[in-house]
Amino acid sequence: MKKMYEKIPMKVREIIPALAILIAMGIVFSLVSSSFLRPSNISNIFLQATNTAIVGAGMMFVMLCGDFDLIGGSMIALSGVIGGKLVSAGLGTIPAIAVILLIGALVGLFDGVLVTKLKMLPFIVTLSMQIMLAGLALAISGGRTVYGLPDSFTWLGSGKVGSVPVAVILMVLIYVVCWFFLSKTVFGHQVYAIGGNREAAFLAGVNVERIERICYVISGMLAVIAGVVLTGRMGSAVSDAGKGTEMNALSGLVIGGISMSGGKGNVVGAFIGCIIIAALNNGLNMMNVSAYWTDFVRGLIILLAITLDAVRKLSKKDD
Amino acid sequence: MDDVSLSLYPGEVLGICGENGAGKSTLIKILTGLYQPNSGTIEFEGKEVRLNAIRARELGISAIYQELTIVPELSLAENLFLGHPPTHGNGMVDYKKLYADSREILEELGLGYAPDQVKAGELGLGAQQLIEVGRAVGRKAKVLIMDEPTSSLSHQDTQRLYGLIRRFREQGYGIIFISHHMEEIFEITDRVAVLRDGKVIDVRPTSQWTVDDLVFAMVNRRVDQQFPSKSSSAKPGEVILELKNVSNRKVHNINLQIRAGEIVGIAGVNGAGRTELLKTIYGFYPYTQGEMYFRGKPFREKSIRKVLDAGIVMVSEDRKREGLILGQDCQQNIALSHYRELSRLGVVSEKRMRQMAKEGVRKYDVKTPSLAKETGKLSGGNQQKLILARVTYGNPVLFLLDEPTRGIDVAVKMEMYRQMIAFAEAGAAVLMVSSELPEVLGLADRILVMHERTVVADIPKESATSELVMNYATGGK
Repeated sequence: MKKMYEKIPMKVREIIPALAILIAMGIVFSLVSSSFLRPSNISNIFLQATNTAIVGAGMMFVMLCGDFDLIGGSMIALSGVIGGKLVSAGLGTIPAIAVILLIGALVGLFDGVLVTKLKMLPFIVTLSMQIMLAGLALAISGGRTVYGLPDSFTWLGSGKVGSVPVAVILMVLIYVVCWFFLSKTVFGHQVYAIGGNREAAFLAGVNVERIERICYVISGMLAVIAGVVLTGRMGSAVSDAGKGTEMNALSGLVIGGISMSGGKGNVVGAFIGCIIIAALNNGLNMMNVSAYWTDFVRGLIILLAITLDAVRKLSKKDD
Repeated sequence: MDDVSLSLYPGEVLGICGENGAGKSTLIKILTGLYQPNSGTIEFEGKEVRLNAIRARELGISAIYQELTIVPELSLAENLFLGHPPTHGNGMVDYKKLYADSREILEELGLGYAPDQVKAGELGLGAQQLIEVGRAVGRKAKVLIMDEPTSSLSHQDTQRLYGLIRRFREQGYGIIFISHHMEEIFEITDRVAVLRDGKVIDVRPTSQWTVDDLVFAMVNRRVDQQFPSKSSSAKPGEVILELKNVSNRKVHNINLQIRAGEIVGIAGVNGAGRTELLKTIYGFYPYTQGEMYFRGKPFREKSIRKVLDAGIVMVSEDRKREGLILGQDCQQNIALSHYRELSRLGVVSEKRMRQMAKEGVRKYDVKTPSLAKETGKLSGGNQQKLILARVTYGNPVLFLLDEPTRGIDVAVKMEMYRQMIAFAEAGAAVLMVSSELPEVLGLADRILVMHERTVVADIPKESATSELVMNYATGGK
């Protein structure tokens, strides 16, 4: 049995737990609710997964380096509010998106510099940044919803190509690009090397700090894209939109096999993990689980995911 | 350790000498209860005891290590009674007694600080070392084990420590003093035991030892290893690397020269700065003073990448931490330094990567079931070969090898030796650090001896003997 398991390529082995959870969840929820597996609901799950998955894609780069980035949720809110204000003040959609992408990149760069140059803990740096960005979004919006966004700005979030939401296409596209970068390019190989053993990678001539900073920049920019998508879906921007997205994404990534200590996990697993989180929220809704309990269940799932990661590491040590 | 019998009497200082790997640390670990002996017994005050870490502490066996274990942010009193402060008997700390006892200990140590007002981190290294000693006093220790206690102390602090050791001796402590420094051994000990290859070679009163006897007892071993030798036609060529008065915070005033085709060994005791010297050349610790020339040109690169591009490679002494990415496969580990050659426009060619790995694995005869095997699951020898496969790709001109044969079996060691000679014969320069003297003596054309972060001797192969090298390495003239 063990022999057979070892014959499976490592990349497939990494996503087996995620696939198993996805299938098990599908079975359980479809038994409880007949409409769970209907195409319309599946499409709904994918749409609901978009912002978690897009934020998760960025966080994946940072986590593969062995770092953390928690700005996701706040960046969504801030980019929605600023982008919304810019377009409603008359700026074109594309320049507005360019501006907030630049903000996302700068925030990521700033985090990256603090982490690599001042050797600050990623967790603390990005947590403070998360609080600051959320505060900034609140201050800029004055707590008021930004209405009257042009269709061009909301198209990414609410548009459709045929019957497929643009947001879903964008999400899949982003994951394809991430897959390409992480598994085909020098950059991707070096990201895995850094997460696997930072010291060894450095001594082998990898520019560890620069690559880490690039990962933070990618994470910041993808969080902005998630912000545009969510704002478009909602049709308006509020300062607490996307709250907690980074935690959903984090648990999705860990369930999907992205190691908390870096260097392990792949893009397909990360994607499945984020879909699992969306399906879970959707399923709990359909089961009519009281809204008061969903947070508890979500926390439980995150804890389970982290336990999974720890157990995986322990069993590694045994052989 | 093998069949070691030693006794320690109250009121004496027993010195223990031996090379790296002679078994000194193992002995300490057994005495402090961290390791258990497989056979034999330990008696304490005439009664047989079974030691574990807690039992050893209860009996009053205390060890002071080379690396300080003080907590800089805690007060002196809290450091003196770290983890075991006096209590009221109900789990609440008895601060009054804590400070009173601490004051007493500090007085004894000759440190006039207020135990509750000064943080340990505010003291100098020497005083911190004394605090470590004071901890043993607070525990009412009867046996005090000191492992290289002076390695980071100034002359003045060392003298202060000696004074303390002498006073403890008068008070009836049994003290074990481990040191690489001959002067220290002769100054402070009453008896000296020599360990070699895990055995006690000889124990004599200090007055009956001479420096020569002691060094001979430490290093003499059957020369049963045959080392391969370079073909005599290989003559040293151009100067590859030259350091003139190079210093930084790790090494001090280094002067050396290596030519193409030369194997130069670096000998020295732990902490002499050997690894640091290699890492200074490699650019990991940039030099702040002096000049470095590589192939005749001034050399100061800003990144390891540039150093590698110049043709300098390093094999680290700690291959698990600094050499390999254990969770990745052979292929990725070999490719790690060479992604640029393996890619076009940033996209890696899987095919060329596999090709490179295949060649490396064949050339160095790495025993692995497949290129996709995780390197963490290979043996130490095969891991080391894999690193060689990585660093030798692209024909470097200077090899910095740090303990290249550590933890690998004899057969692979011989292969390593042959490889080193092959590098030199191909015109590269090899700078090798090794703690195994026979290895250095057997392979190197010249031996640089380091002591206290600088090179103290440059000995040609013909006149090198283990006694001479050890003498320089331990601070002799």
